[in-house]
Amino acid sequence: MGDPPLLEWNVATRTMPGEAESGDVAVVRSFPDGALVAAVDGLGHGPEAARAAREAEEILRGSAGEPADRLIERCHQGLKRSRGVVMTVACFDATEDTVTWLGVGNVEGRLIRRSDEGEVHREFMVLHAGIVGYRLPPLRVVTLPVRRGDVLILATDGIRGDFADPVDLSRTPKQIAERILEEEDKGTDDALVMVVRYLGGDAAKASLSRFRDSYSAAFEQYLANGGEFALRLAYELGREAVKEQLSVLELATIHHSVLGASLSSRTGTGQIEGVTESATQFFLESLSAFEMVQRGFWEASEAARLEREVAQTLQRRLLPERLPDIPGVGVAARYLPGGIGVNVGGDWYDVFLLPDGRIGVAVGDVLGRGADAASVMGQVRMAFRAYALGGEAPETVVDRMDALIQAMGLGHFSTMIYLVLDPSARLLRMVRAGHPPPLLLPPRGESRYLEAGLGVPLGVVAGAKYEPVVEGVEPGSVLILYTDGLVETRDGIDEGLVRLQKGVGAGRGDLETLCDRILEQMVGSTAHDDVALVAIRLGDASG
Amino acid sequence: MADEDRISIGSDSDLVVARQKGRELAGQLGFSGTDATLIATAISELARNILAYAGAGEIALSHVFENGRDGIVVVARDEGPGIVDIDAATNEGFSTGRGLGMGLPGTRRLMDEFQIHSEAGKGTQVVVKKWRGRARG
Repeated sequence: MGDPPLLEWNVATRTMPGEAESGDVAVVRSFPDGALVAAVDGLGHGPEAARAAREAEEILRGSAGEPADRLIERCHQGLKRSRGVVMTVACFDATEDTVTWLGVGNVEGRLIRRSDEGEVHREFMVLHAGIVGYRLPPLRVVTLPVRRGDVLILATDGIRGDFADPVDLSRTPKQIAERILEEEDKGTDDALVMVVRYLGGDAAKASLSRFRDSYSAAFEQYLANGGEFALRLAYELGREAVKEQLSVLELATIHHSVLGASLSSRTGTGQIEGVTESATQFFLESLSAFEMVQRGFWEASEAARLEREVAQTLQRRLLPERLPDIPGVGVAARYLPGGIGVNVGGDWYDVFLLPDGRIGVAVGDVLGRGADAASVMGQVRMAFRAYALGGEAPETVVDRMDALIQAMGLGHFSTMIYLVLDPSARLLRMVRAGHPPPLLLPPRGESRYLEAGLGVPLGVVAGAKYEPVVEGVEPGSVLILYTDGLVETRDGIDEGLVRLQKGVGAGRGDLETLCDRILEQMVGSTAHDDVALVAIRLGDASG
Repeated sequence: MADEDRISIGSDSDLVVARQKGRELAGQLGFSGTDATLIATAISELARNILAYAGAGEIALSHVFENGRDGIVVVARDEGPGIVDIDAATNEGFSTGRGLGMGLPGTRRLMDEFQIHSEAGKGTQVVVKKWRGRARG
């Protein structure tokens, strides 16, 4: 065949010292639109192991092109009288640019591939415990996309397990295989390293060229006979283009190249006019599927915009319009909705003066997005206000909130902190239901998170009882309460907690400025999640 | 409603006939060429749906005149298994992350009006309308 090779590959092996032949065998076999790659390790070593491995090799060569799991089943049937082998097979599919792999036993597989962003990823093959020819586990194949230059490495158990760390993709398969055998050979068994580089990656291009051929044929048919039959083909081609994820630009390019080719074969002016007119009609038909999809896109983005607007309005209405003026206490708060493409969530806060002069401060988070979460948040906050203004202890209030949420079956995971400050006794009493800890900045000394007394989130454990934590608070202390959107990163909240503590420093100065600074440092210009933040200072409000 | 033009749908070539008649009627009623394309596409999607889910059925085309406007009505009927979750069948696409937004949802978006009635085990009827002279549906 004149096709360029799909794979570039090389194998490095070493026979166990003292044995004449190796029980480790590598197989590469190409077939139309694909190639089979396998590494087989006959159990044990010596002639018996080598014979079992060679039998497997023969079966694989004869059946290349069949699915990976079928190949292993065939070997299993054919090797029942042998000593048995462990093996890994990988089937490359050039029409889809994928590799499907499967391993029974301990022939390790690694696929080193580049992502769209050019990052190098290492995929580990999941091995099934078992022995081909003796006991076969249920087989489950895994299929991964591959692109030109990706490297597959198979290694038998004579090679140490961390062999592919790291792999220099700029090296040839031979260099990579030899380097691994040189450095990672255990020296206690037969050893084999097989390195395969994928040279395909033209599947997308090939499908584009097939599409162009079909488009051209249908177009010529329409030019010759006109009629609905050919227009229907144009519509079907447009539909196929959408399904195959061709872009409108690609379709337009194909149309114009087909049209150009068609025009160049004609001369008369009248003829050319006729062609352009037909071409417009034909092109319109092929674009109609894109029209459908585009309308769907507008509809979805309009729906998302409306929902976001509703949720933001709800959120604004549900949060306190202004914070209370409390003599001797400074308070500042912020709420940031999530960034573009992310709806507002259910974060909330509340600050109020209790009848006996104590101050209630609460921050909560109803998990979820959009109008739904915002409306649940509204119910939760109203219920909280109603319970809290009675002046009951925080643990009683939160117990009731928990019971209410269970009874209402709101189905939203919800966290909160309720903290009551008693300026005259210089004490705070806090209950924490699954919520990240507040940060306390005393007027002198180190800031610290109030991490004691973490209870479960609201509404998840029937009859949960929340325990309060009591702390002394000196005048001049600042308390920072927030929701997880402020501190959360992909890896959790620990790193964010450290950054927040560092960023806040001693927390002196104006509280409004402090809140702005915290948001700027922690969130920047676009929040991924919504964020609520409350800062409160006891005693002299000027700090 | 004026007389209906009924095309039975049982094979791929019936789809072409339905498109052809839809395009002709659109032309007679003074729809633009672009609108005629959209109507032909909607008819194709409905016919595809009949072939895929019911195997056979019919498409009826007619002219309506309402509130001073001319319109074209396409009715797709089948006696197939019916649609259990109509909401999902007519809304899939970007918003739900399922499908590409062709099929019934795509048809709904190409036309000005869309009604569907379906009963499990009895079949499905989809009625779509497009009014002449509207910029967008």
